[in-house]
Amino acid sequence: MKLKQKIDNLLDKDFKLVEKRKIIFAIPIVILVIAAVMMIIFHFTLGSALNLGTDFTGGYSVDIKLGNQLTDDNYQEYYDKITETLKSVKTENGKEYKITISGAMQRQGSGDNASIHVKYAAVNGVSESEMSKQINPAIISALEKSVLNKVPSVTIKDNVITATYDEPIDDTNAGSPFETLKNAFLAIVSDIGLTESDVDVKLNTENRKQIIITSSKTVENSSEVKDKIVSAMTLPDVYAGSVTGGDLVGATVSTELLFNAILAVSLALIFMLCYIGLRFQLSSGIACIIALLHDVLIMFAFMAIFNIEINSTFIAALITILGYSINNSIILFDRVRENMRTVYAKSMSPEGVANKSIKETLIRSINTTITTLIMILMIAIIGVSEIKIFAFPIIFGLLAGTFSSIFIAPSLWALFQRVGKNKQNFRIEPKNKNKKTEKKSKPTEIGA
Amino acid sequence: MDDKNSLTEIEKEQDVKAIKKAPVVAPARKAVKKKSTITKLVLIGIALLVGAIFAFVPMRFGLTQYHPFLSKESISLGLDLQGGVYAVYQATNTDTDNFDAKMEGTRSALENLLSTQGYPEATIVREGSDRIRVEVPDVDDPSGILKIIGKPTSVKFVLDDTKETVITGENVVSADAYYDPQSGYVVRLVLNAEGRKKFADATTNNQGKTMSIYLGDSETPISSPTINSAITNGEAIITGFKTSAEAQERANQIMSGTFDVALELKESQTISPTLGENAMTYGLIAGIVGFVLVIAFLCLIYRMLGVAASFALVIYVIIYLFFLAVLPWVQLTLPGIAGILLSIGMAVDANIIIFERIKDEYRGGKSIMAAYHAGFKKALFAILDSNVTTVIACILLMLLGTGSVGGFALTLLVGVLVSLFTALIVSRLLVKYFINLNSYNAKLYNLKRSKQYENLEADATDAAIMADMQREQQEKEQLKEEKLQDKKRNKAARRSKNKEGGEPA
Repeated sequence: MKLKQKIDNLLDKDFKLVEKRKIIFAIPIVILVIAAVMMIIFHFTLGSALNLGTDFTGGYSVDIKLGNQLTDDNYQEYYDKITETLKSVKTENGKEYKITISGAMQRQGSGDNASIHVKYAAVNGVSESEMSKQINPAIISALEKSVLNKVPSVTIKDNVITATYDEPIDDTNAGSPFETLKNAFLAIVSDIGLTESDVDVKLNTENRKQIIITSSKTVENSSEVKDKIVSAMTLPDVYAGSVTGGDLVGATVSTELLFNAILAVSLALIFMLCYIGLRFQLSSGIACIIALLHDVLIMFAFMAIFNIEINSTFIAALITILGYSINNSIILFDRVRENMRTVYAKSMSPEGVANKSIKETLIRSINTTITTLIMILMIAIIGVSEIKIFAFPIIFGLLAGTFSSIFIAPSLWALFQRVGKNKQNFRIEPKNKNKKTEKKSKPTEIGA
Repeated sequence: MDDKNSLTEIEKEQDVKAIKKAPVVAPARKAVKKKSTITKLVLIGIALLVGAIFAFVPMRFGLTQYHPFLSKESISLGLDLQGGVYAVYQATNTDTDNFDAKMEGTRSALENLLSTQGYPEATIVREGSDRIRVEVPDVDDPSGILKIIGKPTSVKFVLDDTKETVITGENVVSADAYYDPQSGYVVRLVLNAEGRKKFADATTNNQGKTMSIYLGDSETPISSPTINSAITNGEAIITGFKTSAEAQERANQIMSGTFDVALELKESQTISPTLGENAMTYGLIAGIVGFVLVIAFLCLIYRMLGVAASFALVIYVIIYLFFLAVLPWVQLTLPGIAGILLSIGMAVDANIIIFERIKDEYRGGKSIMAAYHAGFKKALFAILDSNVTTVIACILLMLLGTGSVGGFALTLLVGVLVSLFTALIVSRLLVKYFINLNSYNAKLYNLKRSKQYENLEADATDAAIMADMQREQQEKEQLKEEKLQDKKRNKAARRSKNKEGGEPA
């Protein structure tokens, strides 16, 4: 209740908003500058200023066939493993690359045929042949190793080596993994300075996850020795999984689609400008369109600042915000139109009319933003990851749209009135006091 | 202009007189009105319930299954939600004459081919200028489809004697495989008019000689049958296949070979139906939770008006889903789900605009009923203007946008039009009925008077309206007078200016 009173008081007071042009225009400019700086930073660190998805750029894809049932639980596990693996992929010649996964991974097929489809962008500054000859095979083998195989973590303490796996090594399974692992270890035993007769290899029968190797000698505790043990004791997936692909995928958003979308939007803007010009004033129309461009720029800016991937759904998000923002601005200009028709308009400055209109539509603007935000936040919180991608730009656009329709559009409109032909409709205090015009005497006449 | 003004003024004067004369509404009348309102509300409630059942509840009438609007069967789903296989083919020879027409021909040929091979629900669209996108829903394994389109093969029938080519793939209308008890597995080619004539001529004139059939670039013919009789029915038969699969594959390859444009597989992918199922399930949950929150918000801020708006919103959702299910061009995609949910949040906007207007009017001294009428009237143009611009944008995007962009714009357009209907007609009726139920308790609607009118009763209709009308009249007169004075002043100014300008000369 107190808050409400405060808002009421705020609205009843002489409400001056449009006059604070400098602050209003500074906010988007600051955001755009930050975005520009971030884009420059990303250009040099990540190699591209905007995070364009494979929808736009094209890229590569791999299919990870699991040969395993895919459930919601183990999907998350696989997902984490894939993400982790692609963070750093080493090629044969020792170079290390960070692979950017594009879009959401896709679960495909069902039952024993389940597979995970991963799209990724080409590494920046790398030729296509290097990509296909060096990096793609490296990606495939890295994924094979980490996702399909069970890699133990190895600890060495004095004379005991412990190899721990994520899951139990079930020795009832065909091929008896424990025996396989034991033999694999014994094969490299001389490489780590031991002999076969020195060691005793046992499975921890309680959790079936650990292989404990006790040696009569102290084992050298070095990363070299550990690496050797890890690579020897990595258990190939007991099922027939495979990683295939490294195929080139084309951009699904063709230049033609983009061109058509831009053409359509531009034409739409022109038509909207005409409509608003007819129903309202041309200056209102121009203010609306500038506000709209502001929203689009801010959406791009936020995508750039947070380096969120831009894919084809972003186009849909832009269209949504286009409609939303124009809606908001028009509601405001409808009030302006109405206030201009009243007796009092002539006794007010353009800023006064704008402020009055903002004040009268403010509650509506806030309430509508709240209801729309409720829905989009639900999508962002509850929806699947493919839809969440859509939600973020919308949230940015929604906030930008609300801001522009409350602050930017009316400020611009008021500014246009001062320079435009419509001056005589308002009470405008002349800046030069020596110039005595008849306009100045108008308000007193009305008052009399 | 003047006529119009005076007319409305006369009307208004009459109204004022009528109001003056009208007796205070008797309590008995009020009761009657209340009763009929309740009946109307109950009727609307029943209609709403029936609508909701049709929208959400699957039913069974005897043997026929009824699918609600909100179901996979009613709303056609995009490949991203339905799951299936897609493949993108790229034309390899783009610099030929009439390339565009040839691509179109190839597209429809592909459509024919897939539908005869048991995939009638496949959609084949051109993507960009030189690509064709094939989408086949509900298929798990892409290899089957890829095989059908497969590697295109050319076919030619050559007379062994003269080495003259009689017919080629260009003359083939369709190719199919079947088993013939006499000659084993065969491929039958149906020829076009030109091919039919050529084939008939060649077989008539060269009886007893052999004709070789070549597939692809192969130098050895697949078979070299002897021409026994003239074949005039426009069907050429190729024999010499060992299995039905081989014959079928060849038939497909020949069909692909008849395409005007050579195609190359660029990309193919299987999309799991689980993605769509999850998206829809979670979308539904998000929608329900968001919907409840929005309704709670409305009821909290606008009380009874909010309740009316909530009912209108339910009706909006039902009608929207109905159109999504009925309109054949609507295809629901992943961003489409988000778009629909978002539109629920936006559809409330018109209601909020109206309610804020009603609040304003009530604050300014009108009765609740009068405030309702004035509020709707004043909000009307704001709502129409703001939505017309969105409609303009949507229509242009539909006309010019390619692929998913156009589809998304259509979903948006339907949402805007339906929300206009529910806000301006459904909400209006509901709010009226709700006010009819109780027009003297402003608290029910969260309406407040400004200080000036603090002591005015909530339903002090007559006095309020009269005062209001008088005030409006006064304002109008004042405005008129001012305009007159303005004109005079302008004239005077112009005159003096002319004088000033005239003097030096």
